[in-house]
Amino acid sequence: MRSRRIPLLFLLLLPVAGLAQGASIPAELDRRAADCETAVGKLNPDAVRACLKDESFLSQLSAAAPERAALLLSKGQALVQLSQLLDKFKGGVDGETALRTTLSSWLSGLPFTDMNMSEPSQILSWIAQYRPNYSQAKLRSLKKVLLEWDVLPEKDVRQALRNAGSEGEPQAEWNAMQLHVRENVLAAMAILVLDRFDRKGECMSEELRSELIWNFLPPEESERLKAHVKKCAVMEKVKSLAVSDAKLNTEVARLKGESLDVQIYKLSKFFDNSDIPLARELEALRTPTPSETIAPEQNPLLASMLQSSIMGFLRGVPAGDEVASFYAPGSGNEFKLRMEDMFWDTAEYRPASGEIVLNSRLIQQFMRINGAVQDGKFKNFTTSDLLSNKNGAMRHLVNFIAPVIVHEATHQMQHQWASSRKIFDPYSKEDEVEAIAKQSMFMMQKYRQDAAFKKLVDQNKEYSSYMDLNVQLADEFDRDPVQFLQRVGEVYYPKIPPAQSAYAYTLTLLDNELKRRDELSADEREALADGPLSPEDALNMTNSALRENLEYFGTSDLEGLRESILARRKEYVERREQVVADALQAVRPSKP
Amino acid sequence: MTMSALLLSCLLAVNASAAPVKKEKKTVQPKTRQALVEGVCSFEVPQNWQLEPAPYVKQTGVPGITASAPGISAEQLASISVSYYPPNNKIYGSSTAYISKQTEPGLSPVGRKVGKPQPARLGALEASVMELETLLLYPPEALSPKKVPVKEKIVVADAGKGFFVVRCSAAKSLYVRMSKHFDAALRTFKQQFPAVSPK
Repeated sequence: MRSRRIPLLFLLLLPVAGLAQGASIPAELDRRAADCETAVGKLNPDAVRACLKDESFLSQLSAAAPERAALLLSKGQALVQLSQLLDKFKGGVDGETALRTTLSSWLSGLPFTDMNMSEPSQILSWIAQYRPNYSQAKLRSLKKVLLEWDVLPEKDVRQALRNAGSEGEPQAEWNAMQLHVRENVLAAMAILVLDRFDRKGECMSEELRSELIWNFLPPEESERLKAHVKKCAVMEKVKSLAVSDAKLNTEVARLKGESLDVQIYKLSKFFDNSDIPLARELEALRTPTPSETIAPEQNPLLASMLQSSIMGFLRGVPAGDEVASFYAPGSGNEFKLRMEDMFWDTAEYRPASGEIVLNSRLIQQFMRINGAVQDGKFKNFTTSDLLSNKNGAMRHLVNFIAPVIVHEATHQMQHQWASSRKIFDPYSKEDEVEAIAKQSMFMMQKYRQDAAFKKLVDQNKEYSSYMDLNVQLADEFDRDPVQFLQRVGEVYYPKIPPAQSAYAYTLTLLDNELKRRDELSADEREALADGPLSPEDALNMTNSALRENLEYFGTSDLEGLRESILARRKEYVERREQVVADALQAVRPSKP
Repeated sequence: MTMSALLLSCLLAVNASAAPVKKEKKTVQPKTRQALVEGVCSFEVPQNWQLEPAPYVKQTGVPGITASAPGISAEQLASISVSYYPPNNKIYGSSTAYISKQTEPGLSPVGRKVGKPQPARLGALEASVMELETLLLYPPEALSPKKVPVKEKIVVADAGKGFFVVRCSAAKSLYVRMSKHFDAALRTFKQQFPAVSPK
């Protein structure tokens, strides 16, 4: 949001600033600015760096000619950062991938496109002019980063270009492409290769699977690659079994040439009524049948059925009782469940609407793995079974989703604690420590006390990645809480700050925004005195939501929020530290 | 071989040739640094490993430190975590209870294999060591989490009135490469408080 407003602001300032520049900029400052602008124009990183180090010059220029200062800073900083990045570059496969990712996004945007530095050939010319001392090995490595024609296999790049619909002279076309376009052409090639293997029902060699070209795949295609690998692993098991099973061997031979999805689907049908683990694996991987697909219009009904029945299933163990008490009638806390197709995440709590949102794909995962024996035959649950609660389908589903409900309900409890005290809740590492700890305790307590739950967990953990994950986390927490706490911080949620730092970040956000407003003209400050969002809205935001919405708060509301955070910081941090202690106390009521 | 496969294999060749250029051999002393828990213990780790004190010591009562290889991530996990469980800690009453908990079935996660405790040394201390294989699943809220096979060596040693736990963990694909660092840490381990004489 902010990035769109700044150029607008410059457009408004330009005519005024232009007059100011002509009228009042001192000659010496003008000369120095012109020298620096020339250095930027020539793309000379060392001369530009010297300009940017001169704080006194920059502050004088900012006062006398703000638009010149802003342009100098914007282009100059970009140039200096690029030179530092390349100077530090040491090569190596990982280093090349990391540098390519950075350059791909930098070079396709401002200010590089304005500086004629968006094409790889322009970067190489710039290196030749300003960094002639780079070794040959480093230059070759940089060419690989930039996907230059002469370090790639020519025939294959030609093929990739043809796939992308190119009809011109291949090398000239490739050379004119920006880095991100080259990546896209290779990504399209990777997708084509993946399609071909999936369509022909063939499995890639391990060597091919470990190729770096797969790094160019967009996220949804990466998921497809992961699925390909899983399907091939199961197909290997099928083929091993077929060696000693003539009927299966015939079926495998019959399916040759069919797509992988068709093979998996037909093999899962071949194993219908069988209780061997391989049958479950095939069931878990096959595409859903129409009867297992949840139509968007069925989501509210299913959510409503789950909402009304889940509390009864949570009760009976301490971790579940705590959640049920939180939502008890008269508590003022509402359990609102919603279902959506969320792609990657299992579920989330949304403070703004007070809803726990469950991914409908999780329900599909459940249906592909679970079912009931009917007429002596095992049948998977269907959407219709769930909606009519046939064969105890809803009971099984509620047990299946209970751990993630405990996790998200814990986030709702955390939010309720903060908002009821009018304390801003930035979202911190301790929130996840507590949520995973409670989810894990629920898993352990229910597993030990409830035979039906134990049976479901044991049957599902091999085939449902969601249940496998629940088991892993609970087991790790129970065996070694000290290591668990360390892993939550460093491996599971490395980017989420602890409470103390999370609040410091909130203050930085507010300080920066208030400082920016201080520097605006009186008219602009007046326009920002009030905003469409209120302090109550801030209580339903995390740090990232606040950052995105700062401009919609009035200045006095931001000042009020800053004062409130300074006053209540200790209370919030102590509470977050206490929940960790409480979680440990719950898992270790007495030391073994 | 299809053209597409050719592209892939050629790209592999490009990246393989990107391996660091051979340098002249030099005799370089291995560079290490000391990982220290003040008044508790110390051990040597490679110079470029990052050190982090154990989190939430106030809540667990278990001081410690984790040394991690540079660029740690779930897929490139390689770390040595040392924890000291003093008698007043809030998690485990004894090393026996700790070891027993590691070897019981628990929830029997997929892929978890633990070996029998064997006699070992932790610096000058008598210890027990267990080999462990697990699957690390992450991110923890993903519908299709990644699975990384992890291998660990868990060393447990009584000291003072409490006990030490050292967990040397690495993604299975890195374990062999990391073993020398793990062994060096265990060999150079020193407790920093006076040993209690046996009664």
